[in-house]
Amino acid sequence: MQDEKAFIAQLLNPKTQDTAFRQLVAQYSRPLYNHIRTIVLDHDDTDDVLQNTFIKVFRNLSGFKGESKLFSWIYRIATNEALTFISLKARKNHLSNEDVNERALNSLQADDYFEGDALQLKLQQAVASLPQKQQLVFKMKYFEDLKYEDISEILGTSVGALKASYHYAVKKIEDYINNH
Amino acid sequence: MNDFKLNEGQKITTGFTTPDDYFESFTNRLMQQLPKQEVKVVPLYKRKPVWFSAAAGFIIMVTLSVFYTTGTATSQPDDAAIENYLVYQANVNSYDLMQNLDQQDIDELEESIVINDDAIKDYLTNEDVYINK
Repeated sequence: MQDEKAFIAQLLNPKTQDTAFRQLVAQYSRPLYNHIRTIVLDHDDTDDVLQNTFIKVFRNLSGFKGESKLFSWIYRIATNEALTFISLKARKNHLSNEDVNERALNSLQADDYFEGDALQLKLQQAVASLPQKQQLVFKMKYFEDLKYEDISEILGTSVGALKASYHYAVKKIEDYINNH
Repeated sequence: MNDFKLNEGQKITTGFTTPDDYFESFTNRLMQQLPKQEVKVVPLYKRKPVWFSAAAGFIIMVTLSVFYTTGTATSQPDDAAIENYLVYQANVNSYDLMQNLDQQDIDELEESIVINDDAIKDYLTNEDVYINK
């Protein structure tokens, strides 16, 4: 925790800010990319959201009060950015969020940056059939291997509720794959 | 494929890939987009004599009185325009709103929102909310 405080101080100090922020980007860009990509699915969209996330982190660092870990604060911003991105896209095109998700899913096969086989694609389709919150929990636990405690801090949901949600998600996904 | 179990056998990955050197070039692209550091502001009173502030104050007062007497009106956007801007244009999400709302704003919002029991019941039914014991 002391290390994190020192690191945040470096991020806020104009003299060390540049180097410290590069370090932050190097540490978080890959896991955050994966996190955002599982939500928005398309590579270019992920790139946009990832940039916005880091810009927002940079702008709001001075207001970060250390009430949660830097890790969960950044993940929370990324999650909100990704979900907001989908909502904005839906509103601009007069579609529902689910329709936007379905379109992204349909274009996955043609995506240069998706190399999944039939089962991987089916798993994405199965995940997309879940309610939004269950999707998030499943993606963060199964694909990103995050701990329940961390997911709890990011999503503001109790560990017990997350475990129940994951359990339901797995059941529904297995049913989906067995029946499609 | 009739007895597929997710947690048996090898873990299924996402299948997502990125362009070569994506993360290396990402950092450089991002660093160029960050807002530049603000120029350090040197307080005026340390550098200029007191009469300078007095003169500045006088000029502001004169300007303001002229402004008010001539009755120049600036057009103000109405609530609908602001709402449309926030929804469609601004890069503002619920997280930003939360950061900028204080208790008074929240109280006012709560008073202005009218939700009946049926609406709450519908929401809870559709949103997959789990009650944790």
